[in-house]
Amino acid sequence: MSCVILRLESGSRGALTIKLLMDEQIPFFHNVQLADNPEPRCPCVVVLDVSSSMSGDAIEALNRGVGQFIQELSADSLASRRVEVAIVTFGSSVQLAADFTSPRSLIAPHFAADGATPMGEAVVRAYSVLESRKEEYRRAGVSYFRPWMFLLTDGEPTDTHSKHWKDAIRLVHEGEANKRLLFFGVAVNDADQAVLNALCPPKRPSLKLKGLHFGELFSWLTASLKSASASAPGSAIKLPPTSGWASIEV
Amino acid sequence: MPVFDETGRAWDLGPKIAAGGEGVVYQLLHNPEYCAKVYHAAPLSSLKEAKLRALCELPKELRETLALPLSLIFPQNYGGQAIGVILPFVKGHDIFELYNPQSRREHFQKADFAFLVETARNLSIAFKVLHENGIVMGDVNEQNIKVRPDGTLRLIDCDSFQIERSGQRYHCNVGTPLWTPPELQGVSLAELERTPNHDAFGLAQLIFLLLFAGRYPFAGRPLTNEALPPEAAIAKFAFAFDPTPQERLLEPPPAAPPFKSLPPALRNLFLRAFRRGSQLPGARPSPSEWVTELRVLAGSLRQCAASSAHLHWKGSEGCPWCHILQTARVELFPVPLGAIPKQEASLEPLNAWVARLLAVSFEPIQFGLPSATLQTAAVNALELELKSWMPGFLRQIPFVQRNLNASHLVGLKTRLSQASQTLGHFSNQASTLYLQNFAHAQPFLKSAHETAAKIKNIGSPNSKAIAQVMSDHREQALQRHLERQLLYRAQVVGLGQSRLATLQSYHVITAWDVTESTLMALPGFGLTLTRKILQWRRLHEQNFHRSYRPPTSIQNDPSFTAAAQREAAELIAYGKLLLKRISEAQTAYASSFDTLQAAYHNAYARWSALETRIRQLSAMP
Repeated sequence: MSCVILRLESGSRGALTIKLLMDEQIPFFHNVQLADNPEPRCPCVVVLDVSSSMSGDAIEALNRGVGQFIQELSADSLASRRVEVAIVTFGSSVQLAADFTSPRSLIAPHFAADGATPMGEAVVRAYSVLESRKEEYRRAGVSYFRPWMFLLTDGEPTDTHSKHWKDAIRLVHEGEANKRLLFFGVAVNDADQAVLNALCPPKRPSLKLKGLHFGELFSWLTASLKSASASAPGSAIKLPPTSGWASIEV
Repeated sequence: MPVFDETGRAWDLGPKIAAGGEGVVYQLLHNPEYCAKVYHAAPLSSLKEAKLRALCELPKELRETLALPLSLIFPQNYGGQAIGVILPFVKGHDIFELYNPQSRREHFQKADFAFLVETARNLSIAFKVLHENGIVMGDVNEQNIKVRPDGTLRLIDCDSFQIERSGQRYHCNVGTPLWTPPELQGVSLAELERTPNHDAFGLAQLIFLLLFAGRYPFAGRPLTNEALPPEAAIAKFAFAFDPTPQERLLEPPPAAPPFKSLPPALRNLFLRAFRRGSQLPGARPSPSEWVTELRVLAGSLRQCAASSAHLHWKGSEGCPWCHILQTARVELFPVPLGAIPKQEASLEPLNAWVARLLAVSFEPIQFGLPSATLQTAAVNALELELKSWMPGFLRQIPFVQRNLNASHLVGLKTRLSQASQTLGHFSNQASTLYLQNFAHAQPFLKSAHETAAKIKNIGSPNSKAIAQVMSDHREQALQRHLERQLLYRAQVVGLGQSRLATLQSYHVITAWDVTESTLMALPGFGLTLTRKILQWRRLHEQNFHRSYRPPTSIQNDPSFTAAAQREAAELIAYGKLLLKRISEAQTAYASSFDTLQAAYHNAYARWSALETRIRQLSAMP
């Protein structure tokens, strides 16, 4: 039987408040998945541009690519129990299309292209979703590998003058510097790579996708996540070559 | 594309089985018990080739435990530079599929705690065999050990083992950071001598994973703000389950079996394997020590009173699995689905059932025509009848005969029309009989089609099983949401600290605990205040419903599979009952019809005879 310890404290305006001690909340165990599958996790949040410029072939190719990504990850038994995927989209608004879940519990969502490009806001949102999940890992006593943030865009951000953009840059750069985040930016079609590079970490500038080779791109992401989840967090991960999908070799 | 072994024999490569960092493994077309590994870096260096040759020449007795290569392979039959090896094809699952509770439910349904202890013992025996033969595994990890359904295992990827042959040591050179002992974290593994003490770390971690339901020894709730990824925790000897650690960095995760649920001797082995000081040569427990203690554990297991599937050490304070079920709501050892017969629960017979239920029908039976003998007999009877009303002598007179024949013909035609009417009645009677019986069977037929549709639906969004799991998920999510809304933050007018204290003493602390009946029963809580508090709860419920997103797919959720199997079993049982009822109705119909059929035959025979006689008489001059 769990017990709750309460303490009466004198607050700022003389009012008495009751503070709950012991983990600050009643220790209920919320996440059954983390108890059922205690493997160390590799969380990956995929941030996708679904603005109106992506309509037509681009959004269709993207939908297929995401479907293939989920399928390939699910096919590997160990990776499917370690990698968790979340999807954040940005277009007319920033949406959490899928919260962190194992690839086998995820059906590929179908995206439609619409709206502007609030990239900064999307990155900030993706970061907070990651932080929430990391908190759940810590509470459940599950280890995690360095989280991945993977951004795909075909334009330039429409919120560069907002607070979100500055926050996004700060979060990405600090995360990379402290080895708490691994950020990849990929430019599609007419994306403004110069602006995107302001967001990307200095030692890993954005890469340009060849045409609409989303298939190859996502296969690379799957392979990279597989090796990241089987090897060490923090230390150098050997990533497969990007020549299959990128115009510039890494 | 064939490859050739050292004797020049050809082996035909089949489809790819796996591709790894080092090479690709192919099936062998005519030899399913073997496979071929072709290295990416082919042709192989002389050192690699020498090592593989040495592995091929190891004593035969080791082949039971190790998947040693049979022979090197070459692209041509005259030797040259080797490109890979022929390996035995080892069946079974990787060991992580056994210790991970989620995959254990998929691949090792019958594995209970005793099975896990036994596998751990077999694993220790395998390492004992290795070390006794001067071999060190080096790269111990979760994908190098294949476990068979009976708990025996075999070590694969032997080409990375460290062996010594003819005075030459062949190094391991690789490692997996999650499995690397603290003293080797961050150290270059190339050309490094690996010792049995290094292996002992990996072995201890594997045994820990088997006995602690897949929980990692170096994973737990962080007690400091420092980020502690697995390899950093290992490097700091931060064993999360250590009851008296030197540095308090991690505490055991919430839904883990307590360290004390194992015998003290076994606990000591884990402490020796993971604590600081274990890096000293020979400090960690040897495989033989694990074999002994695991045998003792296997002999002292007790079944828990609550569930036949829960086994634990008899000296443990209560059943650890029940405790985890109560606190974390996770059943780590479900009772295997033996209750539902396997055939009925799998998918293929389901399709057969759908077909059977859709094919069942209730057709009307048609009258069959009487046989030839019956017809002749009727005609004879009719002749007899005709003869009886005309005196014999009159029949001899030709003109009388002619006149009599004419009136006779008229009489016969009247009788024929009467007989036709009778036959017509039969047709009505038959329809009525069919409709009466069909009315009995029709509701069963309708249900059979509906049941077939429901069986087809299992697994689709509108099936009962999915609806059940979705509703459970929503309910649980609602509960979690409401459990996070604390009353002391509610800011409800009239809810001061004394009333909060009253609530707390009755265990009403979160929105989930709030119900009308509970509140009304409390002293000091009138109607107005109760209403306000309920309104506060409703507000949070509304917030939840607005932002709740159901899971997009739950096909792999274990509670869904269980619910689907139950639903399938229920539907099949119902389907069987329906088919039985329909068959009973068909039997009843057939027997009533038989009676009608016999009467019809007689009537038809008379009609046919009349018709024949009329034709005969009409043809006479």
